[in-house]
Amino acid sequence: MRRAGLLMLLVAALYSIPLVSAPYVLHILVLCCLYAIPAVGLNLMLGYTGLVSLGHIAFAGIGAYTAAYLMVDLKLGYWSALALAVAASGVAGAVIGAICLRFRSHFFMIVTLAFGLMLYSVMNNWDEVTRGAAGFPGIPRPAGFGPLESFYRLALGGALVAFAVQWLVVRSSFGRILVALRQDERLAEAKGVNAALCKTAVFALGSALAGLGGVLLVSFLRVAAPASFNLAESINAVLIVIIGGAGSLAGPILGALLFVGLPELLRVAAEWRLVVFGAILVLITLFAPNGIADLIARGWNRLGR
Amino acid sequence: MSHLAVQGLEKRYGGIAALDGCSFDIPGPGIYGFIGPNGAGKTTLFDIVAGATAPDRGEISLDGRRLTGFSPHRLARLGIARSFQECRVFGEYSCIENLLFSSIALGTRPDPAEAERLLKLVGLEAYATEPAASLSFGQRRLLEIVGTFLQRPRVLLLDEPAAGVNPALLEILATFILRMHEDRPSVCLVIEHNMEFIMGLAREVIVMHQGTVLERGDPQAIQTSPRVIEAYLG
Repeated sequence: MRRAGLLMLLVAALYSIPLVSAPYVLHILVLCCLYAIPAVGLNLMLGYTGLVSLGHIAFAGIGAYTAAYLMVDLKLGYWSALALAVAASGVAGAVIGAICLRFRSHFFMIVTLAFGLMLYSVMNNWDEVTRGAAGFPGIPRPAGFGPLESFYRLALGGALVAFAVQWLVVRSSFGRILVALRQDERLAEAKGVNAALCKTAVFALGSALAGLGGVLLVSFLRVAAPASFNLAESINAVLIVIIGGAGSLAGPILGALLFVGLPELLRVAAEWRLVVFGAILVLITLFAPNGIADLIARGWNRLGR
Repeated sequence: MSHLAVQGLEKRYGGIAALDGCSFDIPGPGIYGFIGPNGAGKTTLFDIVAGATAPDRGEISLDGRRLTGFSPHRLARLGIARSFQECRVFGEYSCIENLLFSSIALGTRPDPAEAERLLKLVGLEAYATEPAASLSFGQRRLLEIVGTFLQRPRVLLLDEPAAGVNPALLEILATFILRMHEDRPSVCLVIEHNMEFIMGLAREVIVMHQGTVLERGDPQAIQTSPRVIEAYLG
């Protein structure tokens, strides 16, 4: 009960940030939310199920371009386009996931990487539909969420939806099965788990969440560009999950905050910025190998004693 | 009724035949020992019955229903449970969570009271909420085997349950298996190298050699059979 109360308070505080914050900070916070959403999806796959996908953000791209096409070319309403785009990412995740999941461990990683590159190259080259490398311009924001302050609340809402989905999955029987699959797939199967089905399902769910993040991102930027969904972004998503704390509820949120926020704080270091950022990432993996979420939890326990 | 029939199983790995026309018939519930020299095909046989490996040829049926080629999870749903030679438990889950996992996997109602009762029978009640990874090897083995009984199997495959377990725990294990078998009889097949352990447990022993069944009979007769002695020494 107390934890629920604290969470409500935190959400209320986050919701009221636009009242006090400068546009620059708000802009960063929007990006944090938009990076956190696909990361939550990847956390279900990587953190809870042990599936390291190196093509995750390509599925955000599928959602983003589906929404762009539906909104701009087909003049579909924002919310129905968003719903269809999320569904498209989920279906693509189920189909491509079913193929990737025929492979294991590092072979799985390589195949997801390959699919990520293929999808990127479709976005980059299918000029008639995606407008190619120049990007797909003119993507709207939903009515009432145009200004930065209101869009921040939309992005926050999206992140909260993703977080709630993750929370529901993790505490369900399905979540228990995912964690069992990460620990010992052969044993889980001997106990009656249809491993292929469960892993495909979590791949689809993770991809659908990526799609949600993708739609909101291009809606925020007002343009869908292939560079937003390339290999580097997929690697970033893996980093966000691992640094935040793979397999913990808050991990992807904390990871996104650090990953987007820290380089901004380091702007004082000018051209040394990325060097310092890299060094900090190394320090985190050295001293908090289970991520920031774990570091905070340990600190909290020590305080309580 | 549980009638397990294995007919003409063959499995080759490269040029080597792990199983070479293995056939036997288990007419009903009971504990059956499987012994034989290393490489006789015992574990391959279990892997095939549990669906982890597909045979090149041959059939398995339970009460006349053909089970060959079914996946492990489907066989688990049909009442086939197994333990692993290398001992597998979910290390991050507590003992109780490990025991309740089969009901989560099968979507049945979990029975924590029953799980705790069985945990007490093997003397692990003090570790109920400890992660399984913190147990000793022998304790993990006990936990694994308790878990297979909680699946309420019709066919139970135990692959070297006594291997690596110290004598004190071994006695607990044997008593537990006999007691559980008395409560809920199943077709219980046990691979074992520990002769003393298996002779005290099994009503009948099946000797495997070079991928086939060499001999089968009651434990005393098997121990004196010249063919068995030759297979082990020759």
